[in-house]
Amino acid sequence: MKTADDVQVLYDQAARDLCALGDPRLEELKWRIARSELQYHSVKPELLAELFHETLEWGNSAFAALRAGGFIQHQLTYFTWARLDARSKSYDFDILAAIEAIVAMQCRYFDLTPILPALERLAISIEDSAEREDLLDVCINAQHLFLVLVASVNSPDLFREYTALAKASHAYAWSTSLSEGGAACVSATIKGMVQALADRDAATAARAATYLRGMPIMPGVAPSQHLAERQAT
Amino acid sequence: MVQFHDLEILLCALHEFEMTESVDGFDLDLLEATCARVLSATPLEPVAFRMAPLLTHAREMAAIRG
Repeated sequence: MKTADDVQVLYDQAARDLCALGDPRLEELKWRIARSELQYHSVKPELLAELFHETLEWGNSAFAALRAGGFIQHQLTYFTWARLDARSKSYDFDILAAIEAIVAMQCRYFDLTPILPALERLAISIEDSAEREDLLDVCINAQHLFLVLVASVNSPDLFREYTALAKASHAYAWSTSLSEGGAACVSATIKGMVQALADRDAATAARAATYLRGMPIMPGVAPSQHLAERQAT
Repeated sequence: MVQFHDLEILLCALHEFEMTESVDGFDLDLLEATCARVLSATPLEPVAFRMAPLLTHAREMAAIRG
């Protein structure tokens, strides 16, 4: 049995799944899952077809799309809506932040020059989305930027572990947890992180990465001030 | 596109392995073909990715037993 060990192949798939434009009828369902509004019961294509008054073929396709986006998880013997309540989300974000921080720290040893243009392009996209106050777009692009960063380590196993959580579902859930001013704050922090990576300032890059995932937004407080206060404590 | 039925088969086998540390009651050829199909549709499917090394091991054990 052969599994793909080429990080480029894995990255391409993860990026496609993250940015996939699904059936617009599924969007409301995705938001309900991200807000943890659904009961955790067995999910099958038949259920999706029934919910949307569609054919089983459509149900199969919708199931595959939701599964690829991380909106359907597996339990012991069945599939269910992703668990994205505050506690689960916090746990998952801690894991993501830990991986992102470790990878950011490695900029001290690795030359990130080849991936810097991609990171800078994504940082600009995040800035544009933040100006439009499009929180979901900000979070999807930020997640995409971290995919590029983690892929740069070129470790298929690490990348698989990372992408098990770094999915569209978590970007949706992330966007629901950001309050007013959150988009600008994420954008500013990402910009600072990319600059720190370019400068090989590992500690600042890792601090920014972990800050993003656990960011309690305070309206009216500048991100730099908030980060400085957190560092001081 | 990943077929739900394929995922069901793999999840069932994975659960069996977690309970008994073996997939002896399953058709290895079927499991391998299913796993390969899922991984070719998406190399990031976690159930298939976890099953792949288990199937390699099960195949080796079957060969040792003759």
